[in-house]
Amino acid sequence: MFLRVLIYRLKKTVHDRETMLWALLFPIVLGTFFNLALGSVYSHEMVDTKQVALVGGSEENTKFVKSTLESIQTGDGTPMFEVLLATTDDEKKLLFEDEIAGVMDISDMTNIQLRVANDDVSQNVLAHVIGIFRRNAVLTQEAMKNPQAAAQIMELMSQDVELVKQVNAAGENKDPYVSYMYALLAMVCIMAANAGLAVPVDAQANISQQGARISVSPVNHKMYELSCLVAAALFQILCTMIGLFMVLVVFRVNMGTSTGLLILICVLGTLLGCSLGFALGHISNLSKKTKEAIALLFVTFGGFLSGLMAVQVKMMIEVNCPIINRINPSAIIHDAFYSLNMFGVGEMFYRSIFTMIVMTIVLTVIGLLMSGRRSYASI
Amino acid sequence: MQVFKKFIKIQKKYMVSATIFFVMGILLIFMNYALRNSSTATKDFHSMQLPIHLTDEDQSEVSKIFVEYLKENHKVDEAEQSSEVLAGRLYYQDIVADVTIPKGFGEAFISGETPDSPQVKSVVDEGIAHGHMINLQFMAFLNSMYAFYHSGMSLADAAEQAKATQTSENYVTIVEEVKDDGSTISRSKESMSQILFLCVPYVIMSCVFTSLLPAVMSFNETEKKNRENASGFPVWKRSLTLALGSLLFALAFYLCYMVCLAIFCGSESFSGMWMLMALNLLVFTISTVMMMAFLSVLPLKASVLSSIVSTVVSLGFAFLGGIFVPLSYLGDGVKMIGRFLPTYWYSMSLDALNGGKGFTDVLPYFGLELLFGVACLAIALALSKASERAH
Repeated sequence: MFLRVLIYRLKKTVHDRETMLWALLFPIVLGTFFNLALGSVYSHEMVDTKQVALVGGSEENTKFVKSTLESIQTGDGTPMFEVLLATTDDEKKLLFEDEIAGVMDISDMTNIQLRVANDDVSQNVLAHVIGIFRRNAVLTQEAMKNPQAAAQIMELMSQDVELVKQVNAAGENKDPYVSYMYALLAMVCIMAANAGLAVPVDAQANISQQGARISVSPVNHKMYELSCLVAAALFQILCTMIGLFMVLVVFRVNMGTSTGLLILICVLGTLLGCSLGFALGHISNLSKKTKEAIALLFVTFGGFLSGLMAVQVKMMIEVNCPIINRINPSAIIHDAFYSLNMFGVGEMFYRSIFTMIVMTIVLTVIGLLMSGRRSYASI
Repeated sequence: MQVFKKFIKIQKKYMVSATIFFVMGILLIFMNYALRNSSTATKDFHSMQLPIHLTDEDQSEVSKIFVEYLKENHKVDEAEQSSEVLAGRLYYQDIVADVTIPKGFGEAFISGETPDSPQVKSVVDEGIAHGHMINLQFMAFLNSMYAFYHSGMSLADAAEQAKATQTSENYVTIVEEVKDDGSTISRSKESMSQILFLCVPYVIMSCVFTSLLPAVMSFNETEKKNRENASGFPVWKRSLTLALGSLLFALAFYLCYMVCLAIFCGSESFSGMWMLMALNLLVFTISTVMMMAFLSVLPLKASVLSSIVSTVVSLGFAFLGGIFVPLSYLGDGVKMIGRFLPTYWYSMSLDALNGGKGFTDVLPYFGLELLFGVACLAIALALSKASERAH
């Protein structure tokens, strides 16, 4: 009987072409939008070589400043600045038309001036570099005042003291905008709540004719609902897998971990979504619309709290009220993806997986327990 | 009036969904308000203030000077947090650097560097420009202080001198671009008004699609439509009532958000720029209602439309139109698609208004937003007419 109900429920799902089509299209369409909009955001924040113009300096000073600026490199050896030699007449054209980072006036090496069009990162980097030149100017003056210490001061100026140790942040893929994809997959998983919600609603005698027929039939109600839930979960897992396929294969997003573990998270996440809707559907004293609104709350508001609209939201909650991230299903699924990228298989990943399993079991059991407690006084 | 009353009655059933999105909108506004500083147009260069996390394990005189310098120049958070949380904060760019001053750093600084001297540990995302900038600043300050101190100055003098050489405001000037008419073009950053106004279209779309759309669609159900057609009530009157009812609700959302924006924008509220931004949002709201009219005539189930389609449309429009991602970050292809969306022109208007442009400059953008709505409405009317004829 279990298998028969399962097959009929699957057939029913497939026959509802409109819902099926949109459920399948949802991750594809939204994923495409996300990929189009967010694909290149991180690259804008990365270090790239900026042009800087030198004006007014003597040949010797220009050569010295040029070599100093060109020697500043990022960790992977990319030079931060490309130096142009210009005159003060070209300044405005360079700043506003060519949009170079800034113009360094080195006519007076003790008082180097920087002219910029805005105060962005490159301009700040240049400002700090000039700070080092200005330090050397002060030290030179000190050496001139105190000739006995001149040798020591000159040594200090040329000495490369390593007082700061730069360490790279954790994470296989450091692009924070990938977390929009985590949030999207989490949303697709939790959207399975709608399918889970439909199971008890369809079986309710006072809501649909089908429900009335089921109620009077000699089928075990708990077994029937469980079978329908499995069918709904199977279809929703297919939808989530399509979403994952799009993210990994079509958009080629580096999720920072192996595909097998991602599939595991997607399956568990979808089961959690289905069981959430299933338990919600059994809150019998609420209308169908209210139940749907609560499901929407979990899908959209939960998605919002897990960073679907702004990545910083989840972190703000983690810092100020972490308990919300521990009970919000979308955040738990999101955490599982995130932990794999950041720390690999470890404590946080196991915690997320364990929470998903426990929540799925608890919510399904709650739904099943409540399914037998329904009475229709008005019939 | 009867249609309007029924519309209100049906509308009430969907108020839960509307309330969810409304609250979400308020939270988005508040979050943006809390996250970003108001950086209004300025003619002076200001060193970038970045959020950093700091742990001073040393508590020496040197470390205290460094901490003081960091506090003067950045937004420093010294709260004790787990490494897991700090890694997450770095990943989500909630902080740019996690700085630790190890025990013994001050002592080693005073006595002179040796190969195994403790160093200030700065964890940054090495891939992004901010990470490099902040580390360069740390190095420039500490190395300057080290050099001044070891050249014979006292620690306090060395610190003061290092600060003086690193105070970029003393030697960096912002050059303003002068237009042909003699006025200057401000290359300012986003104002608080722009930041806050930018997040509202998404919630306006969500509120309209999840609460008004199902209510309007319920009037399009075949049985109800047949009953109405059989009655003596003219179809145009019914459509007009529904349109005005929808507009009324949408304007109610708009007004609620305007009150919030007026509170959060602070001193910028009711300025010329703010009023034009408010007008921009009003035009967008009207356009959204027209868009909703189009969605309501699509031959789709109400549940599918109000959940899946509306989520795809509102989130898709928001991402492609520069609501959640700055327009400057979007690729040319995306911008090309965005040009067909009202959200794109909404973002463009905000950019232009923030850049000091006036009403006449942004009027074409308002027109394009409205044009999108009118086009949607025209298609909706045509589809509706076609379906009536077929019926």
